Amino acid sequence: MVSPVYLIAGALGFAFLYPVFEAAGRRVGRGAATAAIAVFLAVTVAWILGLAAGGGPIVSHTAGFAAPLSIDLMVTLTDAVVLTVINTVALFGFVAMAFRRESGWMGKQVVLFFVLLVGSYGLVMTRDLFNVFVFMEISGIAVFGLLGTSRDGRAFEAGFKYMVASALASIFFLIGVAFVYRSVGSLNIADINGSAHLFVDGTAVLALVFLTTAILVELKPAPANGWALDIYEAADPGLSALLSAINATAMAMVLTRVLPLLDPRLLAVAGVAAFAVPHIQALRQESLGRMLGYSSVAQVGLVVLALSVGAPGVPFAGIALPAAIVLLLNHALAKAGLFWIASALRDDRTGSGEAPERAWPASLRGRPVALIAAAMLALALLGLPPFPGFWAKWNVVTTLGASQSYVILAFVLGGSLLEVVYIMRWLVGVSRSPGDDATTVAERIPADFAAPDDASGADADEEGEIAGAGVAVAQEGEIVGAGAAVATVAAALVLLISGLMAGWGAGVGVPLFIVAGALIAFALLDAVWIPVAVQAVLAVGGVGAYTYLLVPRLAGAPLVFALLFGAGGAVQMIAFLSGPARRPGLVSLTTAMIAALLGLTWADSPLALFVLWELMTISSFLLVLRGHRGAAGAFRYIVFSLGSAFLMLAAFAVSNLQLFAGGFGAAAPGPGEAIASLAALGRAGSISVLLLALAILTKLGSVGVHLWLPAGYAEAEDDVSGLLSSILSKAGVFLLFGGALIFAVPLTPRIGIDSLLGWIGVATAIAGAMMALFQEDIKYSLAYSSMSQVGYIVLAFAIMSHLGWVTGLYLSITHMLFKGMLFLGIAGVVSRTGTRLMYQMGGLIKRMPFSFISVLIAIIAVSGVPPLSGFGGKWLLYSALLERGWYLQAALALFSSGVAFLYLFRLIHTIFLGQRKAEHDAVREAPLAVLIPQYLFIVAIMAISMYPNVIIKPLQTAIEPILAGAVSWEGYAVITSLGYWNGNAVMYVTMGVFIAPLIWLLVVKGRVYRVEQFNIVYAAERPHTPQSTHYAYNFYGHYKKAFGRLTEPWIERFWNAVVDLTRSTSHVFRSWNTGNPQTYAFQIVLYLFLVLLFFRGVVL
Amino acid sequence: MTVLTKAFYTLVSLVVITVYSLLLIGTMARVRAKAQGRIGQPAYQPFIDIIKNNSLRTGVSHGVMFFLGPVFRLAGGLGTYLFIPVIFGSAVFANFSFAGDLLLVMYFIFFGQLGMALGAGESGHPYTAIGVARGLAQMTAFELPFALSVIAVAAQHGTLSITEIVAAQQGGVANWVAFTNPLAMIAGMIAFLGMSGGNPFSVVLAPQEIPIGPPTEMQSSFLGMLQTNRAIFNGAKMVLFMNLFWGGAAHESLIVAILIMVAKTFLIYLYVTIVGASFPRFRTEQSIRFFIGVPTVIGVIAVVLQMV
Repeated sequence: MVSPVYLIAGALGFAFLYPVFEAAGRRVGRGAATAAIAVFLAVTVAWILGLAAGGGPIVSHTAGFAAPLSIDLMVTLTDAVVLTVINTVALFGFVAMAFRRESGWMGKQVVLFFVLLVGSYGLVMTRDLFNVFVFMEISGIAVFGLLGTSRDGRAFEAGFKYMVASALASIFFLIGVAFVYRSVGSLNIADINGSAHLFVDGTAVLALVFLTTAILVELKPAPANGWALDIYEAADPGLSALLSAINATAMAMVLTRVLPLLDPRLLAVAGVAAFAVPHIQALRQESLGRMLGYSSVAQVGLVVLALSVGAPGVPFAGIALPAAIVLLLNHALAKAGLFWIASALRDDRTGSGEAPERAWPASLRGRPVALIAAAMLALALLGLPPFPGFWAKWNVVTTLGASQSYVILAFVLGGSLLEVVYIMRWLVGVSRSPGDDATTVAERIPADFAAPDDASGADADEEGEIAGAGVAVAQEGEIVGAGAAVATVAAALVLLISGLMAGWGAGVGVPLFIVAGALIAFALLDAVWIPVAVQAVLAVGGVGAYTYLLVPRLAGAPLVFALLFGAGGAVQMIAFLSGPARRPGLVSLTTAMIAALLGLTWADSPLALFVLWELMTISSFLLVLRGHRGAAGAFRYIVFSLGSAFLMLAAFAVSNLQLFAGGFGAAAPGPGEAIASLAALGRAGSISVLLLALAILTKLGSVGVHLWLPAGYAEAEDDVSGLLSSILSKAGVFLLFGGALIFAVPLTPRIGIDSLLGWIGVATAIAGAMMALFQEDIKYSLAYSSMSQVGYIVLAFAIMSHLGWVTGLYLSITHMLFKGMLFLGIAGVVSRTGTRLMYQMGGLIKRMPFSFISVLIAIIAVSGVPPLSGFGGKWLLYSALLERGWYLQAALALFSSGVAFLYLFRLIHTIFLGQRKAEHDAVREAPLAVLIPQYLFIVAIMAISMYPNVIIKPLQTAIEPILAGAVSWEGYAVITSLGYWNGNAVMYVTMGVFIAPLIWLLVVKGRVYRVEQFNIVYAAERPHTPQSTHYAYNFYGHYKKAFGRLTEPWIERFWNAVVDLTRSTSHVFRSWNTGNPQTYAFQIVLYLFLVLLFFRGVVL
Repeated sequence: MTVLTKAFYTLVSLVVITVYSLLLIGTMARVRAKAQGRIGQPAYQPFIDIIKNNSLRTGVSHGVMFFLGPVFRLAGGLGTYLFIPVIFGSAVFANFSFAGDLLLVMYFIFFGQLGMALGAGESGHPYTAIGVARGLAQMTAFELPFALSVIAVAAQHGTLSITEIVAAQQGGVANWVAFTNPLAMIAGMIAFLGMSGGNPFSVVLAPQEIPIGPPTEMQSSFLGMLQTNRAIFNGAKMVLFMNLFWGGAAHESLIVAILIMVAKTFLIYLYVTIVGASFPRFRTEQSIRFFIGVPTVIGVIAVVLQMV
């Protein structure tokens, strides 16, 4: 294999030779340079192959002497991988910089770039401490040179700050080296590590203080990193990509060399500070470069933190280093890619700032490749599956949990959530619809009624918004050069493939690959312009086949939910057959979401479960984002959802992976064993269950954490909202039931998690219903209704009895049916009328009778009016509640169901009854493809209503192994300890009492004249226009009056206060970085002092 | 029991309640008139109204749903009544109470209301919708004390079966829920005022001024059906309350049992009439605040007493 020294010599040699190539023409120069980097890359790849095949590390002793007389260069497999990533980034980064149209690199810039490579190679390969110093200096000079050649004054200034900082670091390092030599008598790192026992007295410890500080400062740790951020803000993003990916990676490798000398606690403290603080500071960043810089230094902080992680008492148990390396490489590629996008976009806005003036970056819609790459890189950066960072983060977090480092765990997850906030805000900004000003989180009511002659009031309103939003798609030509595009896409692909391979290695292969396969396959169909209808047919078939294959393998709750996800999803996707032929990403994301949900039902480990949970979250987030005004809703959705996911991750970690151990597979322990293993954990067991409960409640949109829900559901596309509300909302429900009895674990001897869940459920049911009542926008009303209905399901689950669980599952199924029907019914109406505001509709029954019937049956079912299936749900719920002795909850649930009746009536009345507007005189019935799923669901509802045993008995069987039942059957009558209900008899009686009066009326009615609209007995007035005669707006104004201040948005205010507080904190932290080099120098000296204090406290 | 026998019993039960309830409505109208210093209508006036409306040669319809609205309404009234056992221990008056328990009755009440509101809504008359909006809003409010009261009773007797609740009250006045669980009775009876829609909770129909609410556009046989329903539905509700709180109607002799039923329901209706004659009308929001105030607190106490 090639000796390591040739890599350095090659890079250095080319740096000298480059001017000769450029003299032959710029093109020749660029080509030669690219070829040179490609050769370096080939060398490192060859090393990987060679080392992976076996054999020891490649060692080169300079001048033929052995250490410590020579300078060792060594390449292990890890080093080879790191070097390969560095070379990959270097190759793409160079292409991006040298081949761009404007101010492409040439001359000294290329030379300096190669010098930077020399430094980085050296830092990774050298095993000599003084030599590290040399390469640090080489890198430093190269970076300064690259910054200094910029014509931008700010970059020049940043370069000066960099010189100050790196000079300080170098001085510290050199002093450290001198002291080390004094103590050990060698500068060979292996020798020094072998003499770790010597580092106990004054001088040796001082040596460590200086060395550690120097290496950490080079890693740009908060709070001594203001200088680095000034660079990221001012430098060309292309250069920032290289600094972040190459320089930081190489320096992190230096840290790993001296690990045996360092106290993991120091790394933990430094890592936590370096990870958490920049995330807080980044929240208010209005410059994309600086924001990515904050993220960059934080990610390196995470690597430092990861290096401190180990099993209890065994600081470096072999787990930390690989995870840290993967994090490093994941970050290198993702961050470089994002900087390249930033460089291509030439748009430094982040979407930060206060609401109205908030500056959103230009939308990338219409540039699918850039958009997909941006999304993939952002997700990879955040450590979401399937990207490599996820697997490493999972490793770090679960190890933290196992070693009971809960504080660090909290910092890691909290910091990650902050990163989600600002990275996702930017992603939402660049991927929103061009006309979306990304402020819509609640219904929008125009200032006044549209003029009667205005045929499409809503459209006009929306056009106004587009004009007012003042944002535009990135202009053609703004994406400069193909280099950045190639580099970005390549980085994203490398991340995706390596992540998927890691998933395969982690044993999550099949379900993960099905999701990824669905996503990619339908995206490719989009790319070749296959119409949505064709895709939808394939998707329905695919989902159907997956479900069909899955069902025989499942039993119990997983089986119920697999059918719900699969059948419910497939049926609703039929609606995609109508509508435009081209809706990029729609089928791809929907299918992926359903595949992830289906995968969830047969996850066989906590890891698999979590991966699929995250995939479901991500695909649904992107679906919401597709909405016309979905950006703000999608942003809230993803922040809350990932908050929920991180809570779940914390729960898994705290429980030491005892929660859902074995998932739902054959290896899963029985309910008793699961509880016993949690009980064995003691307090950690109940805390983990509480965390899991909070995670699920957030995902279910329970009151208090529901802010994502209204816009999340309502602003998705009309035919997608139903899928989200009816299918996706059941994912959390599935985990409740799938967790069997773990939620019965008491929190304290007096307080059970189940009773907390019960109260939250009922509060959610009431709050959701109340909010649904006051919406004018039908989709918001239905979204809140969904929230309320899921509250019932949580309540039913929390009863923790056989009957309660049958209720919960029954409600889940019926809710899927009628919410799917309602949202689709409304989708049909909205597609025909062009408005979502109920008061702008009215009297549509005669134009859309089939939609009316469907909505009618759905609302009868929702409200629980006998004889339809909804009553079964109510009856089961109250019976179960009373059996458990939850009387107050039962009364409140009854009250909530009354309120539901209110908004449901309003829904059907204001849309289908009352006065039809002139502009709707000619509307047609909803498209057939939208009606078909609704009528399939009607058949299901009718069957369940008529023969409740058909569904209740299998549900009982599903629950029987976990909770034994006290429910008996007499024919069609279900009998509990309290009461009885015979759905079949009720149906017959109802038909009887309906048909008899109908016949009577037909007999006695005399001659009945059909009259036209407006022919009403209007008490001495003459109806003027439909608008002034249709009673619809503010329908329940008196209700609002009655409840007064209770109807005010207290929870929204609370979260706004939280946001304000976070922003203020961010500002306080930010102002620490003044931009003044003296301040920065002071920060570094202070950092040295802090490290010294740490060593004195701990060691001396 | 054959289907024919059951059908015959049902018919008997329905005829009894319809005739009695119509007479009761007429009587109470007269009582109200006396209280206001008028002579009032004859007690048989409701019969005349129904016959007249059903005999009209022409009617006006606004559409299929409008046509079906009164049918839904009457079906709701009939169903509610038929799911309640009227006379304890009588096969004729057991109705279809085997089909479901108290919860079924409570929810079946919505059936007619929904159908009626939808039917009337198709007329496009704004006053209809205004009435419905007021009525539904008020309904949710009185449902709260009512639900609490029903739950307290169900918890007290450990059953949701109306027949069993009545059975538990046999053996003397002291066993009536009204005396064994007075707070539940009070909450329930206050809720009943709202359910009956008399003063002070009459803003739903506002019968004295411009008519609002579902009947606004109704005429001819449509209105006739609504009037028939009013009788049956009122009867059903009074029987329900009699069963829940006042010991039901039970005697070895069916005639005496019917007379007991008549006496008890007469008093229950008289109570509504007296309250109605004594108080002015609430606005909707006032009604709501009223019901979620004191009556709800009483109901909560009744329920909490069952829990401790």
